[in-house]
Amino acid sequence: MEWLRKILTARWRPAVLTAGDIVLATYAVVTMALLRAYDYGTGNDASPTLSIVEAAMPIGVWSALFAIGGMVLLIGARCRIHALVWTGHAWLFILYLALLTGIAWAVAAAPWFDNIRSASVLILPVLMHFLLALRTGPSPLVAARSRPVAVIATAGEDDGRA
Amino acid sequence: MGELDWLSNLIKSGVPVWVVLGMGVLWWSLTTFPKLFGTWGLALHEWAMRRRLAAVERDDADIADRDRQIEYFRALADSRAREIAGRDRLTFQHRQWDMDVIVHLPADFRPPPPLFGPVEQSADGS
Repeated sequence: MEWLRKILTARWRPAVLTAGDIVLATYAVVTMALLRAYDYGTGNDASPTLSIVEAAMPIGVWSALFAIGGMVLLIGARCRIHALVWTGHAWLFILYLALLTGIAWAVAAAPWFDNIRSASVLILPVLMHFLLALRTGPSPLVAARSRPVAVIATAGEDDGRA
Repeated sequence: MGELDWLSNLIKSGVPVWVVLGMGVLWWSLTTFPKLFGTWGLALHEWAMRRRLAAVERDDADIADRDRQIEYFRALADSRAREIAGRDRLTFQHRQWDMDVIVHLPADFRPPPPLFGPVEQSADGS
Protein backbone atom coordinates (compact mmCIF):
# COMPACT_ATOMS: atom_id res chain seq x y z
CA MET A 1 0.00 0.00 0.00
CA GLU A 2 3.05 2.20 -0.20
CA TRP A 3 2.00 3.45 -3.64
CA LEU A 4 -1.41 4.45 -2.25
CA ARG A 5 0.20 6.34 0.62
CA LYS A 6 2.44 8.16 -1.84
CA ILE A 7 -0.51 9.15 -4.01
CA LEU A 8 -2.61 10.35 -1.08
CA THR A 9 0.12 12.28 0.69
CA ALA A 10 1.63 13.99 -2.38
CA ARG A 11 0.90 17.71 -2.00
CA TRP A 12 -0.99 19.45 -4.78
CA ARG A 13 1.22 21.74 -6.80
CA PRO A 14 -0.80 24.14 -8.97
CA ALA A 15 -0.16 23.83 -12.69
CA VAL A 16 2.44 26.23 -14.03
CA LEU A 17 1.24 27.65 -17.32
CA THR A 18 3.77 28.18 -20.05
CA ALA A 19 3.74 31.03 -22.57
CA GLY A 20 2.37 28.59 -25.16
CA ASP A 21 -0.55 27.72 -22.87
CA ILE A 22 -1.37 31.40 -22.47
CA VAL A 23 -1.26 31.99 -26.24
CA LEU A 24 -3.57 29.00 -26.70
CA ALA A 25 -5.94 30.28 -24.01
CA THR A 26 -5.95 33.70 -25.67
CA TYR A 27 -7.02 32.23 -29.00
CA ALA A 28 -9.66 30.15 -27.20
CA VAL A 29 -11.20 33.23 -25.58
CA VAL A 30 -11.05 35.07 -28.91
CA THR A 31 -13.03 32.21 -30.47
CA MET A 32 -15.55 32.34 -27.63
CA ALA A 33 -16.07 36.08 -28.06
CA LEU A 34 -16.42 35.89 -31.84
CA LEU A 35 -18.87 32.98 -31.60
CA ARG A 36 -20.92 34.89 -29.05
CA ALA A 37 -20.90 37.92 -31.36
CA TYR A 38 -22.05 35.73 -34.24
CA ASP A 39 -24.76 34.13 -32.12
CA TYR A 40 -26.09 37.47 -30.87
CA GLY A 41 -25.94 38.90 -34.35
CA THR A 42 -27.97 36.15 -35.97
CA GLY A 43 -31.26 34.45 -35.20
CA ASN A 44 -33.70 35.18 -32.45
CA ASP A 45 -32.14 35.60 -29.02
CA ALA A 46 -35.30 36.59 -27.15
CA SER A 47 -34.94 35.01 -23.75
CA PRO A 48 -36.07 35.96 -20.25
CA THR A 49 -32.49 35.79 -19.02
CA LEU A 50 -31.44 38.41 -21.55
CA SER A 51 -34.26 40.83 -20.70
CA ILE A 52 -32.13 43.17 -18.58
CA VAL A 53 -29.21 42.90 -20.99
CA GLU A 54 -31.46 43.82 -23.89
CA ALA A 55 -32.98 46.65 -21.90
CA ALA A 56 -29.53 48.15 -21.48
CA MET A 57 -28.58 47.83 -25.14
CA PRO A 58 -30.06 46.09 -28.19
CA ILE A 59 -28.65 42.62 -28.70
CA GLY A 60 -27.14 43.69 -32.00
CA VAL A 61 -25.01 46.25 -30.17
CA TRP A 62 -23.81 43.55 -27.79
CA SER A 63 -22.92 41.46 -30.79
CA ALA A 64 -20.92 44.33 -32.29
CA LEU A 65 -19.16 45.01 -29.00
CA PHE A 66 -18.15 41.36 -28.64
CA ALA A 67 -17.00 41.27 -32.26
CA ILE A 68 -14.88 44.40 -31.76
CA GLY A 69 -13.34 43.02 -28.56
CA GLY A 70 -12.60 39.65 -30.17
CA MET A 71 -11.07 41.27 -33.26
CA VAL A 72 -8.93 43.66 -31.22
CA LEU A 73 -7.62 40.75 -29.20
CA LEU A 74 -7.09 38.61 -32.30
CA ILE A 75 -5.14 41.33 -34.13
CA GLY A 76 -3.14 42.09 -31.00
CA ALA A 77 -2.22 38.44 -30.51
CA ARG A 78 -1.41 37.82 -34.18
CA CYS A 79 0.66 40.99 -34.61
CA ARG A 80 2.03 40.83 -31.06
CA ILE A 81 0.93 44.33 -30.14
CA HIS A 82 0.87 44.52 -26.36
CA ALA A 83 -1.51 47.47 -26.13
CA LEU A 84 -4.11 45.71 -28.30
CA VAL A 85 -3.90 42.47 -26.31
CA TRP A 86 -4.32 44.42 -23.09
CA THR A 87 -7.22 46.43 -24.50
CA GLY A 88 -8.87 43.31 -25.91
CA HIS A 89 -8.72 41.45 -22.62
CA ALA A 90 -9.87 44.49 -20.62
CA TRP A 91 -12.68 45.18 -23.12
CA LEU A 92 -13.96 41.61 -23.06
CA PHE A 93 -13.62 41.43 -19.27
CA ILE A 94 -15.83 44.50 -18.88
CA LEU A 95 -18.32 43.22 -21.46
CA TYR A 96 -18.58 39.75 -19.95
CA LEU A 97 -18.90 41.22 -16.47
CA ALA A 98 -21.71 43.52 -17.61
CA LEU A 99 -23.40 40.59 -19.36
CA LEU A 100 -23.01 38.44 -16.25
CA THR A 101 -24.49 41.19 -14.12
CA GLY A 102 -27.50 41.58 -16.42
CA ILE A 103 -28.15 37.86 -16.66
CA ALA A 104 -27.55 37.30 -12.94
CA TRP A 105 -30.14 39.96 -12.02
CA ALA A 106 -32.67 38.31 -14.32
CA VAL A 107 -31.88 34.85 -12.96
CA ALA A 108 -32.07 36.05 -9.35
CA ALA A 109 -35.61 37.26 -10.00
CA ALA A 110 -36.71 33.96 -11.56
CA PRO A 111 -38.25 31.23 -9.38
CA TRP A 112 -35.66 28.74 -8.16
CA PHE A 113 -32.95 30.68 -10.00
CA ASP A 114 -34.11 29.14 -13.22
CA ASN A 115 -31.47 29.26 -15.99
CA ILE A 116 -28.72 29.92 -13.50
CA ARG A 117 -26.38 27.97 -15.78
CA SER A 118 -26.55 30.85 -18.27
CA ALA A 119 -24.98 33.09 -15.65
CA SER A 120 -22.60 30.48 -14.27
CA VAL A 121 -20.93 29.76 -17.62
CA LEU A 122 -19.94 33.42 -17.82
CA ILE A 123 -17.89 33.21 -14.63
CA LEU A 124 -15.00 31.52 -16.41
CA PRO A 125 -14.57 34.02 -19.29
CA VAL A 126 -14.91 36.89 -16.80
CA LEU A 127 -12.17 35.39 -14.63
CA MET A 128 -9.96 34.44 -17.59
CA HIS A 129 -10.10 37.91 -19.14
CA PHE A 130 -9.62 39.57 -15.77
CA LEU A 131 -6.55 37.49 -14.95
CA LEU A 132 -5.09 37.81 -18.42
CA ALA A 133 -5.67 41.58 -18.43
CA LEU A 134 -4.22 41.93 -14.95
CA ARG A 135 -1.12 39.87 -15.74
CA THR A 136 -0.67 41.44 -19.17
CA GLY A 137 -0.88 44.99 -17.87
CA PRO A 138 -1.15 48.15 -19.96
CA SER A 139 2.56 48.11 -20.76
CA PRO A 140 5.01 45.20 -20.99
CA LEU A 141 7.26 44.70 -18.01
CA VAL A 142 10.91 44.93 -18.92
CA ALA A 143 12.88 43.58 -16.01
CA ALA A 144 16.39 42.25 -15.64
CA ARG A 145 15.31 38.67 -15.69
CA SER A 146 17.40 35.57 -15.84
CA ARG A 147 17.50 33.05 -18.64
CA PRO A 148 14.32 30.97 -18.14
CA VAL A 149 12.15 34.08 -17.93
CA ALA A 150 13.69 35.53 -21.07
CA VAL A 151 12.55 32.40 -22.85
CA ILE A 152 9.01 32.95 -21.57
CA ALA A 153 9.04 36.61 -22.60
CA THR A 154 9.93 35.79 -26.18
CA ALA A 155 8.09 32.50 -26.50
CA GLY A 156 6.38 32.10 -29.82
CA GLU A 157 8.53 34.72 -31.50
CA ASP A 158 11.23 33.90 -33.98
CA ASP A 159 14.41 34.14 -31.99
CA GLY A 160 16.64 33.50 -34.97
CA ARG A 161 17.51 29.94 -34.00
CA ALA A 162 16.61 27.57 -36.76
CA MET B 1 -43.54 45.65 -2.61
CA GLY B 2 -44.99 48.86 -3.99
CA GLU B 3 -42.31 50.85 -2.24
CA LEU B 4 -39.59 49.04 -4.14
CA ASP B 5 -41.18 49.28 -7.56
CA TRP B 6 -38.79 52.06 -8.54
CA LEU B 7 -35.83 49.79 -7.73
CA SER B 8 -37.33 46.92 -9.70
CA ASN B 9 -37.98 49.22 -12.65
CA LEU B 10 -34.46 50.58 -12.38
CA ILE B 11 -32.98 47.10 -12.55
CA LYS B 12 -35.29 46.05 -15.37
CA SER B 13 -34.22 49.08 -17.37
CA GLY B 14 -30.66 47.77 -17.45
CA VAL B 15 -29.06 50.22 -15.03
CA PRO B 16 -26.85 47.56 -13.32
CA VAL B 17 -25.36 46.70 -16.68
CA TRP B 18 -24.54 50.35 -17.34
CA VAL B 19 -23.06 50.73 -13.86
CA VAL B 20 -20.75 47.77 -14.46
CA LEU B 21 -19.83 49.08 -17.92
CA GLY B 22 -19.09 52.52 -16.48
CA MET B 23 -16.94 51.12 -13.67
CA GLY B 24 -15.10 48.92 -16.15
CA VAL B 25 -14.37 51.81 -18.50
CA LEU B 26 -13.20 53.86 -15.51
CA TRP B 27 -10.85 51.04 -14.44
CA TRP B 28 -9.51 50.63 -17.97
CA SER B 29 -8.86 54.33 -18.46
CA LEU B 30 -7.33 54.65 -14.99
CA THR B 31 -4.98 51.79 -15.73
CA THR B 32 -4.14 52.76 -19.30
CA PHE B 33 -3.96 56.55 -18.98
CA PRO B 34 -3.06 57.27 -15.35
CA LYS B 35 -1.95 60.81 -16.22
CA LEU B 36 -5.56 61.73 -16.96
CA PHE B 37 -6.36 61.24 -13.29
CA GLY B 38 -3.59 63.40 -11.94
CA THR B 39 -1.60 62.60 -8.83
CA TRP B 40 -3.97 59.87 -7.69
CA GLY B 41 -3.81 58.12 -11.02
CA LEU B 42 -0.03 58.26 -11.13
CA ALA B 43 0.25 57.04 -7.53
CA LEU B 44 -2.01 54.10 -8.33
CA HIS B 45 0.01 53.38 -11.47
CA GLU B 46 3.28 53.45 -9.49
CA TRP B 47 1.82 51.15 -6.86
CA ALA B 48 0.61 48.66 -9.49
CA MET B 49 3.97 48.70 -11.27
CA ARG B 50 5.81 48.14 -8.00
CA ARG B 51 3.62 45.14 -7.27
CA ARG B 52 4.16 43.70 -10.74
CA LEU B 53 7.93 44.15 -10.53
CA ALA B 54 7.99 42.62 -7.05
CA ALA B 55 6.11 39.61 -8.40
CA VAL B 56 8.64 39.27 -11.22
CA GLU B 57 11.53 39.45 -8.75
CA ARG B 58 9.89 36.80 -6.57
CA ASP B 59 9.58 34.55 -9.61
CA ASP B 60 13.20 35.19 -10.52
CA ALA B 61 14.31 34.33 -7.00
CA ASP B 62 12.30 31.10 -7.12
CA ILE B 63 13.83 30.19 -10.46
CA ALA B 64 17.35 30.94 -9.17
CA ASP B 65 16.68 28.79 -6.11
CA ARG B 66 15.48 25.95 -8.26
CA ASP B 67 18.52 26.24 -10.54
CA ARG B 68 20.82 26.14 -7.51
CA GLN B 69 19.08 23.01 -6.23
CA ILE B 70 19.35 21.33 -9.62
CA GLU B 71 23.08 22.13 -9.80
CA TYR B 72 23.65 20.81 -6.28
CA PHE B 73 21.86 17.52 -6.91
CA ARG B 74 23.60 17.11 -10.26
CA ALA B 75 27.02 17.60 -8.64
CA LEU B 76 26.05 15.19 -5.87
CA ALA B 77 24.96 12.56 -8.37
CA ASP B 78 28.20 13.03 -10.35
CA SER B 79 30.38 12.57 -7.24
CA ARG B 80 28.43 9.45 -6.26
CA ALA B 81 28.88 8.03 -9.73
CA ARG B 82 32.64 8.75 -9.60
CA GLU B 83 32.89 7.12 -6.17
CA ILE B 84 31.07 3.99 -7.34
CA ALA B 85 33.24 3.74 -10.46
CA GLY B 86 36.43 4.10 -8.34
CA ARG B 87 35.31 1.37 -5.97
CA ASP B 88 34.49 -0.94 -8.87
CA ARG B 89 37.94 -0.33 -10.34
CA LEU B 90 39.66 -1.06 -7.00
CA THR B 91 37.59 -4.20 -6.48
CA PHE B 92 38.54 -5.46 -9.93
CA GLN B 93 42.24 -4.76 -9.34
CA HIS B 94 42.10 -6.45 -5.96
CA ARG B 95 40.38 -9.50 -7.45
CA GLN B 96 43.15 -9.86 -10.02
CA TRP B 97 45.74 -9.68 -7.26
CA ASP B 98 43.82 -12.26 -5.18
CA MET B 99 43.75 -14.68 -8.14
CA ASP B 100 47.48 -14.27 -8.71
CA VAL B 101 48.20 -14.93 -5.06
CA ILE B 102 46.05 -18.07 -5.03
CA VAL B 103 47.79 -19.44 -8.13
CA HIS B 104 51.24 -18.93 -6.63
CA LEU B 105 50.47 -20.28 -3.19
CA PRO B 106 52.75 -23.10 -2.00
CA ALA B 107 51.17 -26.49 -1.58
CA ASP B 108 51.55 -26.48 2.20
CA PHE B 109 49.92 -23.15 2.57
CA ARG B 110 47.79 -22.81 5.64
CA PRO B 111 45.39 -19.97 6.08
CA PRO B 112 46.39 -17.53 8.80
CA PRO B 113 44.96 -18.13 12.27
CA PRO B 114 41.94 -16.07 13.23
CA LEU B 115 42.67 -12.68 14.67
CA PHE B 116 40.73 -13.51 17.82
CA GLY B 117 40.97 -16.95 19.23
CA PRO B 118 38.17 -18.76 21.03
CA VAL B 119 37.40 -17.06 24.31
CA GLU B 120 38.08 -19.41 27.17
CA GLN B 121 35.35 -19.65 29.71
CA SER B 122 36.19 -19.11 33.37
CA ALA B 123 35.49 -21.70 36.03
CA ASP B 124 32.28 -20.06 37.18
CA GLY B 125 30.99 -20.05 33.61
CA SER B 126 31.02 -16.28 33.20
